[in-house]
Amino acid sequence: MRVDRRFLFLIGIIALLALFIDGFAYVYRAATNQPLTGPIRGVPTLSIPFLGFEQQVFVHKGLDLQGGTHLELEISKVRSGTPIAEARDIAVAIIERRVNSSGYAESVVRPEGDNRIIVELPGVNLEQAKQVLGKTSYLRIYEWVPGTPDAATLQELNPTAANQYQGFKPQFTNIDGSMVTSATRSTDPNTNLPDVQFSFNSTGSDRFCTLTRDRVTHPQGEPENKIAIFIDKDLVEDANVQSEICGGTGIITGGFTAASAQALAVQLNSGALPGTISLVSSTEVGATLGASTVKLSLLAGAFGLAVVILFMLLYYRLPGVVASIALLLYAAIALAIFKIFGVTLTLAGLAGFILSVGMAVDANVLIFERVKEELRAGRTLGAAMEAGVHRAWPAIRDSNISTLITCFVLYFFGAPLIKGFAITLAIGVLVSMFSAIVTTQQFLQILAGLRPARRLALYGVQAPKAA
Amino acid sequence: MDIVGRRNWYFLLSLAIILPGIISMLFFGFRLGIDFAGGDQFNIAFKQPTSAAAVQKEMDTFNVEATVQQAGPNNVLITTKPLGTTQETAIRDDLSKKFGGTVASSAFVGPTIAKELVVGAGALIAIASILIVAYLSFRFNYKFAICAVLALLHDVFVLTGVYSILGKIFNLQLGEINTLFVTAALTVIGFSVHDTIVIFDRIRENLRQASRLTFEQNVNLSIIQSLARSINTSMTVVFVLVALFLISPQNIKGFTLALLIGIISGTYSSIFNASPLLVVWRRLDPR
Repeated sequence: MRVDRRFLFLIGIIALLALFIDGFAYVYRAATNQPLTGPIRGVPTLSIPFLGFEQQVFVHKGLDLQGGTHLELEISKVRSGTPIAEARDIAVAIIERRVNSSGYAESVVRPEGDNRIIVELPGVNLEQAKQVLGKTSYLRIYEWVPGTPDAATLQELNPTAANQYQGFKPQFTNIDGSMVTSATRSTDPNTNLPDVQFSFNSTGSDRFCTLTRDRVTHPQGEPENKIAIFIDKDLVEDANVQSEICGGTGIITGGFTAASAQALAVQLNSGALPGTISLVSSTEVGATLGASTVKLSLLAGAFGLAVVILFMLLYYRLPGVVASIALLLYAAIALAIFKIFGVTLTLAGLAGFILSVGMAVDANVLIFERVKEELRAGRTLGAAMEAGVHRAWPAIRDSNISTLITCFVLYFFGAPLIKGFAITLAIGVLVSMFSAIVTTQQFLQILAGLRPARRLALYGVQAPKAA
Repeated sequence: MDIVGRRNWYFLLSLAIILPGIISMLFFGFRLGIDFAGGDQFNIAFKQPTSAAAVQKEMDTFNVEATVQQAGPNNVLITTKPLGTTQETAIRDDLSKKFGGTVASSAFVGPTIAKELVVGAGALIAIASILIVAYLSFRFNYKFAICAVLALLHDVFVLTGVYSILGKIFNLQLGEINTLFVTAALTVIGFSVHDTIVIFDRIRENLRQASRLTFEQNVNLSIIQSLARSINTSMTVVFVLVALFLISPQNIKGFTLALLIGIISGTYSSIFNASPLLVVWRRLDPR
């Protein structure tokens, strides 16, 4: 087999693409006029508008690496009549609202199984996390009056919402969630979107009546014509008042999903979750510990890679150089895949990746051992390399497929910790197969074509005496 | 070199390593991590060197079945039975007041979830083994597949046996069975089969070529031909793992050690157990 230019072209393209993605943080810094060191502003995002492609490109660190709290909750003793899965979804929506209103960024709240909820809070310790979960939502109605918001208001409400009208500040109307007697989820007949209808007790009804009567005296669309409904810190509705509302009912239409509307209705009714929530497991990692773990793992990875390269160079000589290049390329491609597909790297994931470096080298070892054998048998360099790759292939294929089977089982049946390991190991195995079959083979063929590279001693083989 | 001819010695060596482990497992069981046993665990960091014994004395006053271990000069690891929020906060406050300790990491696993994890771990190993047998039966034949799985079970027993001894007889935290250990065991399974397949592939190839060699000689030849590759690959993985082991923090030392033991055992079993077993089977059933 000859050197195939198409394959070389493919390797070149993939290598460039991988390096581009690996170094994307620097591209992003340059594009947004940021210094090349120090903390980065914004999220590096790669967008190719005409392909409709937009993807955040950075290494997603798991909680054990960046620090934070992972909680697994279980919902039980659900009020009769509510299916458990529905109660779970309502609870997810309520917890989501609580977490978001506490301003914790990049947090995750998701259902797990029938009755479990996973909460992940980066950069938050267990005490804070428990406080957030124990919080109940609070509805308050504000009006806009001339002035600027004071510090206390900005503390109480989301500053962006409080400052949205130049020259106006939100002022509490003394109408709050405690005056709500009932709330139900319903559907807006005009837009078909979920909304929440609620009714007031007599105090609330009177105050709301006066408030709305007052508002309609201002011109339509002016801030003073509006009423602002805040849930916790967030503005969920900022509505024009068209006429006075004195029937004691109101409607909130705030871009809800069915579940979040239901959640709000439940909370306004009782301020409580739809059942008893108990903690079944939690993991908390301090930020310092996480950072030192990252440092150690990177060190281990670099050291491992260095030792493997050294070993390959000493033992296999010239092919060792090929293996080292293939290995570095492999590391660059794998890292690029982690970044572009947003694979979350955890400690176990890093271990899987570092382990896959060892497995990546195995394909090269298999090929080189075969090449050596063929050379000893007296074949020419080109023929030996071709035969070596050809004969090593079934072993590479079958062994890697069996590892992939293990990864598959781990991913689909394993705990989250195990999943992370399975993903990085599987990516490592797949990339290593590419690197062995395409990269190593092509590089070997190039070597076979170079005159100075034809001395057999460079391959750790003595020339057959007969030749 | 005649590896197949001396097979009984190699089988004996394997038994000598596995038997003490099995005895330890039967009589002493395992030292379970909190993810299997349930409980609370805190890694506490202090500003100055603090002894585990002093912290243990303090923890005993809470009566929560606490064990305290040194995890570094300024670090201890506290394991307790499952705590409630009030009790937990009280302990954190107390340690911070008396020793100036802050929580570097903590974990809590309730009793329900612990039970699920134990069942899950066993099932994972079983499912993975069955799928691997299926794949190998398809690629080779069922005899090869079963021999590969026997070698795989060898490695699982070596690993669990050594950990039972480390955790229960030597009472080391290193020998703890937790989710990471299960991950390590599954990786070892993958690696062991990987290693075995490389040699089996050689046997398959040599059998196809018409030669005057007997089956036994053929297997021995294949092992010898694959030897350099088997040892070199394992060496590179072992290098990486030793690096990981030496610098890994306390919480994953057990994980890297398990991988290290498993990979060495996996290499041994592929060379000295899996292929010689094929010969034994062939003798018993020469079809």
